[in-house]
Amino acid sequence: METFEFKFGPWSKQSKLSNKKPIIVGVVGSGNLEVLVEEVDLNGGTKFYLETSIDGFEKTWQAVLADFAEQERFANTIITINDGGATPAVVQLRLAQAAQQWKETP
Amino acid sequence: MHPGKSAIPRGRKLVVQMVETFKDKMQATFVDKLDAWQLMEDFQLSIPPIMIYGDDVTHLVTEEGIAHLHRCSNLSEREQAIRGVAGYTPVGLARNKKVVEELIRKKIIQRPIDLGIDPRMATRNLLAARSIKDLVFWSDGLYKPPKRFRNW
Repeated sequence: METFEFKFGPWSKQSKLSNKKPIIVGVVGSGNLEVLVEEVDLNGGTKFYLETSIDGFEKTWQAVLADFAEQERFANTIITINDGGATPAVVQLRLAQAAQQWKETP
Repeated sequence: MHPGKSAIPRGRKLVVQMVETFKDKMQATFVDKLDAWQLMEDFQLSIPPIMIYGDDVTHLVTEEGIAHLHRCSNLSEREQAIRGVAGYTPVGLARNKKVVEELIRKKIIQRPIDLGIDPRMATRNLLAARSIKDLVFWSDGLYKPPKRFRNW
């Protein structure tokens, strides 16, 4: 079991929050993960808090999450990931699903 | 074999390799050195045991996209085409981004997005049979799946 924190951004100077409701995507299971997205004042940046069952992949996570953060540029957003040993392909899929749902959240 | 010596016009075979970039337990599929070399030593074989040689592969399909390897004009382009679909494995991360972008432009690498495919749509709902149970049911019990596929 390992935990990591990654910060990306800031993407905007705006730190006004819009009271979005948190969303959750996926389930924690073998080879799967759950992604929780919440709005928090982070001075315009994205923050990931990650708990994974498989040790030794900090660099891989860093690369996957950096690409995602750069692509979506979610300001003032904290993304919590509970991982049960998902491959980057599954991680990207869940993140894409979470991103779409987050954009559709009023 | 010298094709020029034969009167028969020759076609080419499609050798399509489909892999996920990571196997179980996050083992990278793409490696710099095949474990066949280790097997050769362990079992004292004269050559490394390999079923399909890399240079015979014409297409490489991963969750990242399709690499049309047969359209690469040289070895270094082929290398980058492989790295370009190798995802977040060490081999994939060592890609030359500029060359890979050029390969995407030349359609030697095609990602889902280039083919108008949304990966989020890739669920069992797109399949005719969504489970082994469907196959058993449709065949009126003629198909008897191995025990490990009986998950109902």
